[in-house]
Amino acid sequence: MSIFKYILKSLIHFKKQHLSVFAGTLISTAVLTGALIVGDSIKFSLKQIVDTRLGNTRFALQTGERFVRNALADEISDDLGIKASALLQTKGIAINSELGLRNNKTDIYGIDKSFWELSNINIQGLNNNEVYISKNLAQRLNLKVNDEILLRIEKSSVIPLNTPFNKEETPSSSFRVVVKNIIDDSQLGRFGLKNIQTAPFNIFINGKYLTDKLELEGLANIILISDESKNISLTELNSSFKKIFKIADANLVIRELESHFEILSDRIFIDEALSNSINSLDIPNNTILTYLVNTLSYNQKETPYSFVTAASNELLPQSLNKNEIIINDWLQKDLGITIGDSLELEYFVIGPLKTLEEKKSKFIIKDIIPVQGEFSNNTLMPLFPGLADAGSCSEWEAGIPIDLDRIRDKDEVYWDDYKGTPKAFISIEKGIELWSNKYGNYTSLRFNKESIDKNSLENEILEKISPTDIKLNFISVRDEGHRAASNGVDFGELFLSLSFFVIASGVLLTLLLYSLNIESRSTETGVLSGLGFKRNQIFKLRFFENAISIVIGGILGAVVGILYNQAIMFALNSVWHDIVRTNMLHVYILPKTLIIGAISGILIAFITIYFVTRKKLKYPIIGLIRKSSSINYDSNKNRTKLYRIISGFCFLLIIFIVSYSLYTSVDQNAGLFLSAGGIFIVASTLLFAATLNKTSSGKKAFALKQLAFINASRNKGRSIAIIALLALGTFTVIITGANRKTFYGTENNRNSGTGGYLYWAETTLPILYNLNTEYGKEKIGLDDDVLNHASFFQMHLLDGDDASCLNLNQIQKPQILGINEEELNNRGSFSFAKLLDQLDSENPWLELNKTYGNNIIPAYADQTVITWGLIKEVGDTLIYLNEKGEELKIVLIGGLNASIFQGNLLISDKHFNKHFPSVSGANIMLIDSKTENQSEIADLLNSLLRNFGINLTSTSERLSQFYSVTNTYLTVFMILGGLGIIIGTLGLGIVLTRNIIERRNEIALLSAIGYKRKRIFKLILMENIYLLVFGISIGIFSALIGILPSLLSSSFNIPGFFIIVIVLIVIANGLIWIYIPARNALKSNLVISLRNE
Amino acid sequence: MIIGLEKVSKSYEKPGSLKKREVLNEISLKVDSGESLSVIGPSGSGKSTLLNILGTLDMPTSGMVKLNDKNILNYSESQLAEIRNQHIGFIFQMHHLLPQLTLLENVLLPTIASNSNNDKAGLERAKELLESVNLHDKIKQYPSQLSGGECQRATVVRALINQPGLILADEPTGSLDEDSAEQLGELLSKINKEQNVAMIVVTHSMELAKKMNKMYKLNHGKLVGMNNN
Repeated sequence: MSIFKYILKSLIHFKKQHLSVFAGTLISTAVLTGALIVGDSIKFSLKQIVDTRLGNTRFALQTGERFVRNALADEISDDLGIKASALLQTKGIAINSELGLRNNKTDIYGIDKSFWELSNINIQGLNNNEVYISKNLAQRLNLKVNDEILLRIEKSSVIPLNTPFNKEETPSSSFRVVVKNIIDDSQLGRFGLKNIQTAPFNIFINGKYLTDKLELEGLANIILISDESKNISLTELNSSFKKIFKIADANLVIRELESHFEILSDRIFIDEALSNSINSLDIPNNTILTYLVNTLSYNQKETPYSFVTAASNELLPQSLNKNEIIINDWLQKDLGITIGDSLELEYFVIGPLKTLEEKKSKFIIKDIIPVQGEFSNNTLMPLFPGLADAGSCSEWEAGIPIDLDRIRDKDEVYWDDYKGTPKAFISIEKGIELWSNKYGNYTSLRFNKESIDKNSLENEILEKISPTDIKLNFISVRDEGHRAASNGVDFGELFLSLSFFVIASGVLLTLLLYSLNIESRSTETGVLSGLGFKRNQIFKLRFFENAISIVIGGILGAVVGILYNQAIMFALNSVWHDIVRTNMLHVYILPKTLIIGAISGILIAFITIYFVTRKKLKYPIIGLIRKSSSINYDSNKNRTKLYRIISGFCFLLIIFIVSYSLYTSVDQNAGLFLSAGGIFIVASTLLFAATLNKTSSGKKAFALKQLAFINASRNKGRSIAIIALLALGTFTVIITGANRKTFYGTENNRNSGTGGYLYWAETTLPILYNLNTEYGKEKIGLDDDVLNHASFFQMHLLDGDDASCLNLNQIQKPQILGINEEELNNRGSFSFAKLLDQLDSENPWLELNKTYGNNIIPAYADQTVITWGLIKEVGDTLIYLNEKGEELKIVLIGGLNASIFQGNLLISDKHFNKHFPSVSGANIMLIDSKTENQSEIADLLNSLLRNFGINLTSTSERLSQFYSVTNTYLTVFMILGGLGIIIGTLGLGIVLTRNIIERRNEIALLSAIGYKRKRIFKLILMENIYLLVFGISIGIFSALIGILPSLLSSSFNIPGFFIIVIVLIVIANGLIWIYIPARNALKSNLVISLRNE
Repeated sequence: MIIGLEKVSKSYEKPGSLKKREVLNEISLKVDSGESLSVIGPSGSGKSTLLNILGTLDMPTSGMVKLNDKNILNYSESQLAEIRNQHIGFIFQMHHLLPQLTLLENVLLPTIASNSNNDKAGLERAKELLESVNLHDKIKQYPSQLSGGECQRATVVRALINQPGLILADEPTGSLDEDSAEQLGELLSKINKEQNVAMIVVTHSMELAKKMNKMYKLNHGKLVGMNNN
């Protein structure tokens, strides 16, 4: 005889009991491991998606609104001996005109063979009108090889579209192409540089053909680098880029004039960062800013549409003060003006969305110079497209309203003779004051030829400027992608939380069944003690005996966890698709995770049995031998008193927490309410335990219901476990159900997540004009009167990663929306979940207008985005680079309640225009109107903005899309919670069965003394229904405390029906587990039971 | 002296009352090696409590319990377990044989608590003892396959396996039929005499009580000597 033999024989003899411990361990380990594998699988799948969308690309240069020479790719390739490819990317609308199908947000890439070579893909080249399309686009538009697509693409331009006096071009260009092939993921069909798991809709087109169509010959806006053959660092790559960087890549050109070299920008205005660098050269230069003024007037005489140049004093014939002006003799004659007279200038200041504001400024004439001279000539006019190449004034396309009636014959003659030669000159200081804009302060910089030659000037400039000045630098897109995939939403953690109730049920099951097992063997324990076994010896015996079932349960649990994981992954790829928005998730099993899962499950089970065994071994030996350990051990006044004291303290704590939370902020103390709900369960369960103690301490009553209650108090531990389980289950399910996002007619409230707006519209092509103005409406063609009832809240968009709950990756730089904060403040739109303490909570939107320091600006985002998408907190800072290449710190000063802005960062328009001036127009807008016009407006906008690729959704629909993610998570939680309750109630059923088996003699006795079967059944049913009613009631009340913030919110309606259904399911489930064992017990032969007694 | 009690009292709390119920009242008792005594008394008189205190399974409210002249009341749980294992053999009213072990394994169970006699010699002793109680042909059987009398005889062997100096028997014949009870009484008496083992038997059975050298009656917490003739 040995300890091992004893353990082995006990294990075999009590195999059913061990099977239950094994099952409990298996369930909790399986769920735990499965959840951990979900985390690994999603990370792995996201990384796989990164590799799939990038091919062999490792680094990328994305120029944003700018363009660089496409020759850069070859130059870098030659310099570093690596593969590179230049792309021209634009957005567009793809239309299958035959079937009337269209896809608005289509990414169009102009590529050449180097793009495929980069990833070693053997694919045929594209002729001019041929395209490759991604599989998803083919499916969406129902396209086959050789089908025709009508492409409407964004007319990208070197000059930002909102640049003052830029020619008004149609914002898009249309042409037909033929599908050469439909390419799958292995052929870069999923190519994209954005960190998101959803597949983009891609079209690949011959690069040369595209650049020709867009008049962007030789230019690119993406350079891709693969380093598969040579492992280079990002620093090496950026050094090489800096080395081969040309001034053309900064859109600068050097023009040779008679006595000067002139620096001009293809973008008309020279970027401030570049002009600052060039001005800091040790070579003297002159700065020039030429502007088109609407009117020059004197004494009621007017000269229309004239260029006026602001220049540094060195360039001017005379130094000028800010209020002085020099005019040419043509203007002198035209206005009959002379030195000392006051000349008034009227000009447009062009604001965001081409909002025109006419301003005036007066100057004293200091000098009059000839029209043409060494300084005064048409080279001072910037090369505005639409002006510089116009044959006559009537051909002007100046991007502002030109009243052709005002143009006189002599103005035409002036144009013929002198083109854009300025008619007046002011100081550069005054010019900057009046006309500097977000695109730059100068239209040209001049260097005297005597100071430097052209080559030296170019070299000096290249020495001084850096690609990063204009935000041009390569980034490691693959590393970024992998980082975003690894640090995104931790699905392992998430599913661990979601599976909490299943794990808890598994643990509770182990605990409950193990307690029963050890109780049933209490005599054995007592006998062992009596025979001289020390407590720690008995403890070891029990521990090692159960260790076998636990270890096997843990190991098998880890294996079963794979199946659980597969079920979850299947659901995520299908019915729970709303959460992940991809069907590319694969199971990925790391041995490490299996080991961690198994060990964790085993440890949890060990801890459980450790405490149960320790507790049971504390019972007196005699009690154990007589097997009275389970009855009335706790029945003492001290424990009852202690329970009451703790329970009373908990109730006081609940009152304090709720009062404090109601007094301070209901919205911001949701967590505290939830805690109060949790404490209520503890308090009520303890109070119930105290009541059971009291009952078992001697109160006598013989009415059936009292007898039932007394019976319920016989096994206090079991009764309390049942109550706690039911309360916790009900609490969890109601909390989950009550938090399902619904509308119930609150979507039109301005403080709701829709802001009270009716529609959210996104256009593929930007809208350059303010649609609330007549001028804007006219320009865009919104000429229907009905639209006068609509108001438009247009937003600037800085492209970035989608940080909404639809993206699983961790996002560092979400897309930014520049908004008009005053309008939202005046409307009182949206509401905030969190605000920094020091903010004006009455006017939170106006806080966006503030600046916290040099390049430190405030922003809002949805609280869910802050927490889950960015994995940040309110008060944290995000670092961006602005267009000058400077670090821009964006402080998250508050979090919005769930809103239609999900996925975006909101900053003030003022800051947006300052830091991201090149962004032209608005791609996103909110539309409001009287609800009766709702559908008419939607139809009109869909029709009139069709060519802008409008995608109009009602704000409530957009919000419900985000809610669908939250609701799917809640559904998952509820399903897993429900599974937990089923497992938990399985334990409940076993406990009840056990109770009834233990009381078979008592039942037989009741029968013998004349109780009818029906009455006995009623008794059993009643005593267990007590537990059911108490448990569920505690759960309901605690849940009501937990959801108090929602109940008090005007925008919340409790989904009452839903909750009632859930509670009924819990009750029905409980009743089944009470009914079956009670019925079975009465079916057994009671006489035999009595005879045994 | 093997074991002795000095002014041992034991009282319990009455449920729902502040008063205490005194079960044993300043009892003194001395048992020497080879001595045997029986304690009789009405139900609830405290017989089993007395036996449990003697067997270190329960502690007195006051007084001293001495084993080999040493007060064992301040011993640790572990030391008391060792005493029970090495010096005391228990026989309960119910046999309390473990259902998962064979008869032989049940008998050997106390040896694995201390790793004593858990060798070939121990095994031989177990077999000899089982033979002496006519259970040698049932050593591989499980308790569920044996009669109540056989099980109870096996518990006697289990109590003797570690060669204790004292056997404590609590209503050993309480669950047996007349014949089996008679056989067990004879067996206990024989063991007491042949093996020089001190024996204290708590019983309702006068037949069994009379088989011991001394007889006491426990009444109202006091132990009163009786004539066992």
